[in-house]
Amino acid sequence: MIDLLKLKNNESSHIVGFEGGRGFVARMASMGLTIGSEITVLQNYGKGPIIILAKNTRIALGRGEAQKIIVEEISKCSKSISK
Amino acid sequence: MQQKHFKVALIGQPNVGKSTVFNHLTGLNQHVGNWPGKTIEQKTGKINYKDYVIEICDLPGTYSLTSNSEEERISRDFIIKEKPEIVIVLLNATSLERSFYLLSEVLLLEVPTILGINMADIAKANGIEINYSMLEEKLKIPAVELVASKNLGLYELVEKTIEVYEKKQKSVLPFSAIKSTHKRELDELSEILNGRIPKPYPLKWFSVKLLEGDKEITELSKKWLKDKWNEAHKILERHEDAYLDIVGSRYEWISEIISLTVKNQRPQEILITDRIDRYATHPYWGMALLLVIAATIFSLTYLVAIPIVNLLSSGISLLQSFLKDTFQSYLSPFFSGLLFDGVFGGAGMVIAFFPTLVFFFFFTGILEDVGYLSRIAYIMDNFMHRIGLHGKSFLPFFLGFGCNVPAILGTRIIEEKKARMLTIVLSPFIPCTARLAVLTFLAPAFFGRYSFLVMLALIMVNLFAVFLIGKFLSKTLFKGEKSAFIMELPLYHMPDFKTISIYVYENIKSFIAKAATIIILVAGIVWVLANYPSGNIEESILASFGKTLEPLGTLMGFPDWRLSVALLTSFVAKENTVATLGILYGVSPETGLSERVSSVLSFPAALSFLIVQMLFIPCVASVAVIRQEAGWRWTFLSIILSLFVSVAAGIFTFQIIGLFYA
Repeated sequence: MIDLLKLKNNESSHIVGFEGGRGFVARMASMGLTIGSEITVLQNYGKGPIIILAKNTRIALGRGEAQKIIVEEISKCSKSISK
Repeated sequence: MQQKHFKVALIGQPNVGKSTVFNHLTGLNQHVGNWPGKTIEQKTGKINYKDYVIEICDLPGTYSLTSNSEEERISRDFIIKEKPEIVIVLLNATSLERSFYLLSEVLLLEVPTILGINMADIAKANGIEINYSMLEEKLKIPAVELVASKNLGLYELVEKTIEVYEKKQKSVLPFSAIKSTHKRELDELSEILNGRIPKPYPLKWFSVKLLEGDKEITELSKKWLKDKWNEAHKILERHEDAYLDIVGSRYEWISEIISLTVKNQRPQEILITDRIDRYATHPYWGMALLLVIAATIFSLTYLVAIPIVNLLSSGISLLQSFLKDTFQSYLSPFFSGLLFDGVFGGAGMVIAFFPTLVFFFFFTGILEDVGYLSRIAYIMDNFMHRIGLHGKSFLPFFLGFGCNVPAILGTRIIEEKKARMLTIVLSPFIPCTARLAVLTFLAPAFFGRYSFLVMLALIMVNLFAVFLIGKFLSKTLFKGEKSAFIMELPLYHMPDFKTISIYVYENIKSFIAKAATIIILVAGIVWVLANYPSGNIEESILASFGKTLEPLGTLMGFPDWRLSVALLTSFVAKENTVATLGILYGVSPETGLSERVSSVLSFPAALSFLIVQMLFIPCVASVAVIRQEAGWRWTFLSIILSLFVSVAAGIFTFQIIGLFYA
């Protein structure tokens, strides 16, 4: 289990948990991010907010927020988007 | 035949094209105001169709119906308390699964509901196929395919609305409100609440929200359950994780429906949006693109607007002198001066200001409608973090280059109060078109062929001030945790000109309502101050006030009181500076005012004067909207802050540059 920031551009994984309070989880859920959802990092340049793709929606997330999203390690389930 | 009236609520997540649908349904037959006691915009409109008058209320765009934001509370309160006969839920066909979440929250309220599935054309182009008849069968509510930007499906949407209204069918939640693991607790809560909550609240919804941990509902339950609260509280305490089962149950149902009704033919394809974003949101390319776009907008705005402004201004002054000549024999000189020079002058200034604003809003309207505005927030997020804000605050700043009034109104997109207040306090330091107009008039006279460089430098001074003050305030007054940055980046799409025109129209209208009337009023007051008692400005109240400020003016390098007075009148509207200097030096702007002023001011004094002018207290219109949006305390802070910063910068400039210049 790693946090979302560890994923590089175009790497995908599944959400396994959140490290935030109820409010954060509810907000994430309303935007389509729940436990089990597939999530692809479209942009992560090591600084600044990242862009993710989940349920066909592109969402910009601050690094602080991204860190609270825990995903599966990708060695097993890497399904990076092909060019 | 008797007309039938009924009420419809339009609800949808952000980026589903809700305002396009609303605008196409109601046209200009709409009313924009605020929700009672709130600073959130309320839009209502009317549709006259056959024998029906449908009153349609555009609820704020929200992702869910929790009590975590004011928009969400407004939306759910409207549905519960105002009891619209129908709720139209708008969904985005390109991300149906995500936008179904809000639908699941609306269905929980068990009100008659219709689906409008918008952007069907974009979805089709991306290989997404939706089975509408299956969808209607599974949900037991009508689903209408829409392409609002091309006016497709809206007629059918209205027809369906009327059909559902006539059937007067009650809607039932088509899925289980909670997974079986916590079903018992929900039933127990329902039992406790049954008969104890007042009328408009539906019991099922109220119970689910209580178990979800909804703050507002928890407070209401405490109040209404009284001694029974302990019983409920025990259940809630033991099952804090129940909300995961509530959310989980919604998504289980959603994915079941989606798997039955939506087929994505080309899931692996990289969309145009992603291709554009490879550059548009890239840390370096994105910034470069933003600079090019911003520069294009500003140059186009000025290139197109300034000739029109000049034409308007000369037209207005012709009319002004014509009116004055015609009527002044019937009026006392004081009254005709107040009416034609003061009030009419103020009105003329407002009108002359329109073209610039129209063009600026037109271009930002396009940026917003195609989906680029959220990318700007994304690109600027990193930079904005340094002043304790995040990317969303950059959008009001961007508008501020046009006019500070919409900038301050535009801070409404920032959810957290603290970040919003900081953005409001910083906004007036963004150089608006009015200040830039003064700059373009005076700088060439002072600095000749270097004027362009000086102007650029002065704009940088303002931005630097925003940066420094932001950094300072975020470390002191606004200290604390940084706010979260979570923002959807919509798919790019072609602009809809009806939506953009209404955007321009609404912004201009709110500028007139909020700013223009005050500008005219204060223009009248300042005219009186400048003409009382003798009609000679040199002996007026304003002049004597300016003269008492002379010691401060001297520190900033001003050779006489006239410059301080010119700054003071810029409080009415920034472009007043030029007009006042014209009156005080007795030379009109057309006949060599700039030469006259530049002959009185030395190089350091001229620089100091322009810097003070650029940073000086916000104009009356901005002050009025700051007060409306943030209250007196912040307004006061904003005035004091800009007064202090501008004078300090003026003194600093004159004293330091004076050392080298002498």
